[in-house]
Amino acid sequence: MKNIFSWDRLWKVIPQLNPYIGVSFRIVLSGLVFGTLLGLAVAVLRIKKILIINQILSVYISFMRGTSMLVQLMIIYYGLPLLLKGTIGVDINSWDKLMFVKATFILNEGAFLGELFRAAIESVPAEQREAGYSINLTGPQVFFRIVLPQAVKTAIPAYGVDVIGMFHNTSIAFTLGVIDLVGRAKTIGIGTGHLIEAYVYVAFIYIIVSIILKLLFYLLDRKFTFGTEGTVH
Amino acid sequence: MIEIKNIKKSFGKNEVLKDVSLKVDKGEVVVLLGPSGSGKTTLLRCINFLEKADEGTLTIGEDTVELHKISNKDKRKLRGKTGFVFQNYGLFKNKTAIQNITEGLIVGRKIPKAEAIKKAEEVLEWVGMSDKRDYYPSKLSGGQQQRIGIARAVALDPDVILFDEPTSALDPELVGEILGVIKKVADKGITMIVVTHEMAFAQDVADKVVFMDGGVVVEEGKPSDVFYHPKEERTRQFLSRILPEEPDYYI
Ligand SMILES: Nc1ncnc2c1ncn2[C@@H]1O[C@H](COP(=O)(O)OP(=O)(O)OP(=O)(O)O)[C@@H](O)[C@H]1O
Ligand SMILES: [Mg+2]
Repeated sequence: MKNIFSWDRLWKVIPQLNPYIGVSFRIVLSGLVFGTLLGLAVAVLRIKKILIINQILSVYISFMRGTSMLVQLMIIYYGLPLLLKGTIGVDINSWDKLMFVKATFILNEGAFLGELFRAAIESVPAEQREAGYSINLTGPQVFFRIVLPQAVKTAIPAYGVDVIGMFHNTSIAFTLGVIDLVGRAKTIGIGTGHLIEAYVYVAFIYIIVSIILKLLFYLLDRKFTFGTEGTVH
Repeated sequence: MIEIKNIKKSFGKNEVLKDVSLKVDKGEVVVLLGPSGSGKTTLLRCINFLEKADEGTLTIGEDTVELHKISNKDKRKLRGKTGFVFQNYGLFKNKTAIQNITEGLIVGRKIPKAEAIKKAEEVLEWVGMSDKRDYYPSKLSGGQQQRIGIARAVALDPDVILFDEPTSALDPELVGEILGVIKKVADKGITMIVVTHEMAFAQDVADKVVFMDGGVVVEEGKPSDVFYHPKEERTRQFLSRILPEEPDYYI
């Protein structure tokens, strides 16, 4: 059992794994960018409480929060083409499988971030809005200049955790045969009988990415302190 | 001149304002008094459209609007003529002291940035807060925040400033200095409606005192008349609770 781990094998798997880092990144990036936009839209629509839209959104959110991402991926992979073909006649069967993975991440993030943003927006006291109206700002000006910056400040820590969390889920793509970093590590493990080295490298990449993201969110957090960082004057 | 006519407002079944009318001449300082729940805050909020009245008209200067069916355009037009000073200051937490003041000038009034900053600096100086120019509200005491709150309203040169208990959230030792700042606003000749229970201030600064109870104006008049010769029993009862004891030899 003494050759569970070998440095030689580690150096050999690195070039085999590197090309797949990009796949994981692309999944996370779609989830981050489009998931954030979708989340903002969901949050604003839910706050407006338009009857039917609100009910649809609340079903969507419960579903996304109450089921595993694997189940969501399956439903989107098999269900979305049927739905789109049945309703608007668009055939997406020819889509790249990666697209379905990205769609799952976007829809999942949209629900989680939607709730996160909604809570953050609603945590801004009404008086902040009223003060904005009292100096004759318009509704959108009050939202974008007063409420949103304060909501962002509240949301940043949980947002950071959420984004880092996305990285740990990209391996579900393997279910559809889309090979990302973790998927590739598994196939190497199966092919060679040595899994540890590949996983050590995957863990190493995750740690680096987590550290970089944490740093970015720390800097972002600093930018939104509004004087509450506790320095003494 | 600002005139409110026959304003009514209910929250569900709770009739908070039952036909209130009030006229304030240009440059006049009106102090609004009344027990808790009598509708003072609601009245001020209706004037600034933070609350939508069920009925009534509002005239500021040349413009008259019906409160329950006002268009967004008229709302903004009339809001541009009023300022509001909040009980809990209501400073924008994401803006520094000076940004709190320039926001309304630059974004609301469309005044060029350099000019807005110059104006804001003047007003900051005027309320004695120049040295806190770049502080966020979280770094300021209540008294300092309320100075900025007053500066923010004054900087916009409104026709009328509405004050809702501007000193009641302050530590007692800070009340006097903030009342001093409000008196300075009055001395500028700005029309004001002030909700306050500071009787000495009312007597000193107010041209008119209006006593509200149960959603109606019970009595109004000069401070000396209302305070020392109230006509209505309800006024007398209220005053006996909040006015300092009068020396016996006065009576
Ligand atoms: N947004 C609201 N929804 C429901 N009821 C309200 C609302 N705002 C005020 N009220 C009710 O209206 C009544 C008058 O309230 P208002 O705040 O105008 O009184 P006030 O004279 O300012 O009292 P205080 O001296 O305590 O500030 C109260 O009974 C209050 O409960
Ligand atoms: Mg009140």
